[in-house]
Amino acid sequence: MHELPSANLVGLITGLPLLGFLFHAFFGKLIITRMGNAVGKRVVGGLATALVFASFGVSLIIFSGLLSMEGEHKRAFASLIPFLSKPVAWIDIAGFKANFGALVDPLSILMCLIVTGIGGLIHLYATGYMAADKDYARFFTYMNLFIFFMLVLVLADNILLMFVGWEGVGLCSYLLISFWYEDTENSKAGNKAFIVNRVGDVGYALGIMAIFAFFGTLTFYTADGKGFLDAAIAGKAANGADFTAEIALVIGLLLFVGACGKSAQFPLHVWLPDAMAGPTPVSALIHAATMVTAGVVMLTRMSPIIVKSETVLLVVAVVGLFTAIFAATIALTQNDIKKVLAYSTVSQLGYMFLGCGAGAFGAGMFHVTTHAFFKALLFLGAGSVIHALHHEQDMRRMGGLSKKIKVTYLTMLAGWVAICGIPPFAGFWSKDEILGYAAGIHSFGMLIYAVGLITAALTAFYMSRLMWKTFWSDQRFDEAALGAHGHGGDSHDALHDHGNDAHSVHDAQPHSSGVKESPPSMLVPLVILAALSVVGGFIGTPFNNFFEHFLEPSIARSEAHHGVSFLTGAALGTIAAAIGIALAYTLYAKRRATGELLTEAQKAGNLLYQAPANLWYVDRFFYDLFVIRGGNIAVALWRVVDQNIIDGLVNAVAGITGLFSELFRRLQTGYIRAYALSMLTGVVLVVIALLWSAMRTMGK
Amino acid sequence: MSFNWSLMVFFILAGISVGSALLVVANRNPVRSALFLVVNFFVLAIFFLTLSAQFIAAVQVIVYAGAIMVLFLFVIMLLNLGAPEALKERGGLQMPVAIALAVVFISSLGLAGSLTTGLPPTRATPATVDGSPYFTNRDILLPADLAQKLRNGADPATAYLRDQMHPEVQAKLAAYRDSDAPSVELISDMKRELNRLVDGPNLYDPQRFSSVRLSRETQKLLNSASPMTDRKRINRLLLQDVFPLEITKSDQMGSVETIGKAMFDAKQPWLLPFELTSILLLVGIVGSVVLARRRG
Amino acid sequence: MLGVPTEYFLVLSGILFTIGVIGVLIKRNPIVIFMCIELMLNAVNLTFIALGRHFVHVNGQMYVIFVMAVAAAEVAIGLGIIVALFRSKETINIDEVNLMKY
Repeated sequence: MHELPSANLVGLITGLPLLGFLFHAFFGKLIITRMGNAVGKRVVGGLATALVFASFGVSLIIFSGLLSMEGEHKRAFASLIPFLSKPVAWIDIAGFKANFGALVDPLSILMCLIVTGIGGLIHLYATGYMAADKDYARFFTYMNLFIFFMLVLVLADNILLMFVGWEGVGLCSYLLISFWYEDTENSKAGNKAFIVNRVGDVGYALGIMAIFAFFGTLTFYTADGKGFLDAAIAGKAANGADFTAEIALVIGLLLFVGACGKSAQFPLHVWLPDAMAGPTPVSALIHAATMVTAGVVMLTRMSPIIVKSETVLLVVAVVGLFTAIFAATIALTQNDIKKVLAYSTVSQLGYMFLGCGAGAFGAGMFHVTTHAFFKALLFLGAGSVIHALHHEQDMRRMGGLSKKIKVTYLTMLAGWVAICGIPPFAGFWSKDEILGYAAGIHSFGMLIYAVGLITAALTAFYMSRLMWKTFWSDQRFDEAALGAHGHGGDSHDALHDHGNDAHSVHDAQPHSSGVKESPPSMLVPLVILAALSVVGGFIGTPFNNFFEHFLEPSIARSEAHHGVSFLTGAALGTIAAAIGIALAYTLYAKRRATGELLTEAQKAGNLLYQAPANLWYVDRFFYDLFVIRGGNIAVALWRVVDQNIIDGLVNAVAGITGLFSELFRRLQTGYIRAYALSMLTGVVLVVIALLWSAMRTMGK
Repeated sequence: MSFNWSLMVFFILAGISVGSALLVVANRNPVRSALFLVVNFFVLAIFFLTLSAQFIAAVQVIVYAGAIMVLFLFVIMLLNLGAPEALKERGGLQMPVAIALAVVFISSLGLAGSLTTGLPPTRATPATVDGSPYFTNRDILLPADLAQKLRNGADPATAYLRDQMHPEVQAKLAAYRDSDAPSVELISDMKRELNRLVDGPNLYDPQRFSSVRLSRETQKLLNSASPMTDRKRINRLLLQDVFPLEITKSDQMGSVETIGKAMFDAKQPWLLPFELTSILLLVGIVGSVVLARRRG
Repeated sequence: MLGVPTEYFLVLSGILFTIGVIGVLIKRNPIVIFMCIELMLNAVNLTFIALGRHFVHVNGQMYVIFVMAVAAAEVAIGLGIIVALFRSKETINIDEVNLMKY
């Protein structure tokens, strides 16, 4: 069976969230006002969640169809418009053609499953988390729109449509980061995310142009093998020219810049931690599980081009590795629970890039999948903690929560073992797979492997630190005071969304005080994700690697190979994780009361602490360079060029026009007879002109 | 060359029309202007009549000289503007510039006239003017129907007429198919043959024309005058009785019948404009009622 | 008058038209201006009919019918405007009606 009958349904995957978006955009607020706060919100949130889950159901149908599909490629082409089997043309101008079509293959369907599955759980969580928000309908409008654009991104059958989804999720990210726009800090964080992403998008856009220039088409694959990836696999560029490594270098580096922006790789990582200003479900969905992995998805989709150039692969691997360890060091020093997780996300994304750079795109995608499970879990768990503590995000005022919020604690525990890389939990398998391939990179393979292991140890350490500060150390807050004053006063060095998460959930139970466990709508997703974090890794064990085998048709063959045997790798990885955890245990167990390793005075004097705590000065450097100096240049241009030269020109043109109109307006006397006279003048002139031309013709 | 009376009459009438037009402009009293305009309209009506536009001439008198002028006078009286009012003149340049431009305008028209080699000769001596019985191509109003009728020869008169035609033309008619538009060649052939029939011997035979409804004029002519003298005229009248719709009627270019037929014939382009014009008039009526309504 | 060449009618029509133009340009009474417009229209009608006879075609006369209909509508509207104008301005001197200025 070479066909996929259910491919016609693919339009439903995108169509349902779009429907939800339109519905909530037009009627969401109306429903809440008409049906009352309680019922209306249940309807709006329920509908948004149900549509995403319905989309997940459709994805499952297509997934099962794909499993039973035969043939080498496992590929189907369909329209993004529901029930249409043929893609319809979106742009078709003089050889430039792009369809509004979907490419159904293992990669896209895997991402559909992740986006709609995790997305649905997070929607469910958000119905509880956002219950008290006044902009409830707007939140779910954006969320459904995000799901729609993310699905367009992964399903697009050409890179231009992928770019539309890419920009669409960027837009939704911006809208959701600055969801509580009344606080300037949130708007600024949204702007930062949007602007930093622009840098990457320039690279992506240039990459698209380069692809069109070299291949003459933007479609990935076509049924008759005319797509540019078909051509790249065949080694042919446009007009029969060879597809050389140089072409791959240009396209690959440009696209990599785009991927860096979206997936927060150094040096474009600066937006992601600030993006935590959004509501916690947003952080979980967009800034951990799905959107930020779009860069990895894109590189995987482009793998036939990337693998052609050794240089690109090495650049991807090195940047990924550097980002991984760089962000991990910062995560060691953060006090805000969401910031720790944000830098952890950056670090884990670095791992994924490292996998791609090693040529092991399947391993990278495997980590995308497991990371989606456990990082969404950790974020949602952190949200639950924050919820329980009435919007306290600073870990210095937590502690001792393991007995108070049991369900949250147990699920977080599952996330913790998963991310640390303890076998046999999800993170172990994917991380180990990536490191194994990284060791196989033929230049510096072992060095990269070593750094990767150190990062793994750091990861285990900072996650254990998080668990200690939150759950295991002694209680460091006054439970009676909780809920009395909503947001803890002096923690403003932490995240901006502090006060804002407050007004979302705080009003939910205004009269309760003390630590409280979250409602079932929030706990159910936590439990499901915890289960996935525990067992999710088994889909891709080296013994029976269903996952990478499934993805194979979507990924270019590369020379990637394991540099260490599985057992060695597993042993070393486990040891690294164990070292991290043990170190954290020995250090923090002695300081249960304070939960701090260093006193404030020690911190101030210690450069090794100060550098990562200050984000390695990258943000400050960018601020100085672009905001201050760039701003000065802009001011100079404004004062000198814009105000004098450009405005001068415009004013001069306006002045001359004014002069002439002053002159000519006297012609408009308002006297009808004067108008009739000018009309006759015109007639006479026309007659004379006609006569003149007639006489000239006759003279010839 | 004898003295051309008709030219003299033309010049007299032309003089009256130009003079009355000048007086319309020169008079300071609008009532007098209106009256001179009536004179002008009447003279033009006479011109129309002599140019074989009888219907238009009648309309000119009834609508223009009658209704429209009454409307003018009515408004003048309504607004009590009968007495010449000293209307303030603005600026001095309007009149001289206007007249200068008008002079340039008419002289360039004259120049244009002198540049052309004149009008093409008139296509045929207009039947209505000198009573010529001959046909031009234009006189064949419905060439397709005419060709069909001739080919079919359903009644004895039509069959006889066809049989009198040149054998080549008969062959062409036999070959004519209903779906075709008749070629210009065929139309010219038919016109030539019809003219030949007009020139030929008297076509009338009571037996032959028994199924044709003869017009009163034809009957009068058949009964009264000597058949030999008005042979061509009788032939022409007989032909247009046989083909009442297909060919124009002699003497009747400007008649109500011709104009009415042209107006409402679906093959002519006038029906839609006619309907549109009636809508325009309706809008005009409504508009003037709205404009003249006293407000408040 | 059967022997009068068509050209003579055309020249006459041109003269009448120009007189109408001059009237429109120099008169200040809008009623007279309307009369002059009628004069121009009639001059044009004359050319239509003269040429219609020249080419032995009824279309010349058809046009005249439409010109007359439009002229009737125009007079009805125009006189309506004049009446409305007089009501609001108490004068109909068009040199005192100059609202259509800058």
